[in-house]
Amino acid sequence: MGVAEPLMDQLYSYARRLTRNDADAEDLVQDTYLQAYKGFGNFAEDSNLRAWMYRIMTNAFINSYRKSKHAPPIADTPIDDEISDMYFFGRIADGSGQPYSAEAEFLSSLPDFEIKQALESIPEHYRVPVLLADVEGFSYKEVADFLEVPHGTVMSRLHRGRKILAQELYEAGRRYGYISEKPGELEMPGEPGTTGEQQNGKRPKDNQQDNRQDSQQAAAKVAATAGS
Amino acid sequence: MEKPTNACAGNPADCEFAQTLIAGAMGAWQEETYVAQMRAQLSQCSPCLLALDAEINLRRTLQAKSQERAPQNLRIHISRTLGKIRLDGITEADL
Repeated sequence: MGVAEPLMDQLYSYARRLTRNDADAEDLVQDTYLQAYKGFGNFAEDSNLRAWMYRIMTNAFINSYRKSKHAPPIADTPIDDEISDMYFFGRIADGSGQPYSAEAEFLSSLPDFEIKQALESIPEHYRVPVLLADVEGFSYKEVADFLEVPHGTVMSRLHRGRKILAQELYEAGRRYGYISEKPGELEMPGEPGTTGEQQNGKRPKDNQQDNRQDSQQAAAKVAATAGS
Repeated sequence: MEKPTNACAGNPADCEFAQTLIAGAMGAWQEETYVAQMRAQLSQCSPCLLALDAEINLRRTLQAKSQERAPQNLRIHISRTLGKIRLDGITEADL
């Protein structure tokens, strides 16, 4: 392979988040390269190869993989409409003096699998635009082109998808003790604080169900605090 | 888009201009030129600039922590599969 080979890790990562399982992700990457190879004659040299490959993969996923039996079911996460559209911006901007860097530091502290799990927990309808725009960095126009939907539809799906992602990350933060009970405050690793594990002897995963309702309520409170 | 006529009084969450601008910029957060334009438009308000940088930083973190490495057997398999296909004027090395 030539110029597209360096993209394989990126495409595999995207495929893994789309399909949510290794077998389908590998098949999807292979299909994408096969389609790209066969259609390479139609690719304009001055075009963006990365965008072209992502478009092919997105279409292949929507057409062939979205109903795969290999993918685990997604929990029906109720969306909290009070959470800000921008999933962290505004959440801690409550005048408390908390630095914005705390949010990134909190995310950096979470294990990678929690981030991946949070992304994969978004229903596919909303997950695809979140992955394309917020993880892969494509413009809203490119996302609209890939999905062949109007710009407004992309924005609407992003709005919902980001809220679900925010809730999932927020729950993860609580499980690991990075988010305190007091809305709007983050506790950084190494600071005094109790994790879910320390509180009841359960592994963080075991606390997920217990924390779901609490964290949604807390997230709403934080969002309300930020907006006040 | 016009620049804000007044600053957001230190709280970007209250600044409708900043929220609209930053949300609009997030779709192209990897494009340095575009982000530079956004920074220029928010240049009068340091809290809003901080918020923009934070949003970009968050996405960088999301991207970095969700990266996977394609399995080596997949690379080999794709290379072999493409090598068996014969297309007019196109070789495996083109892709």
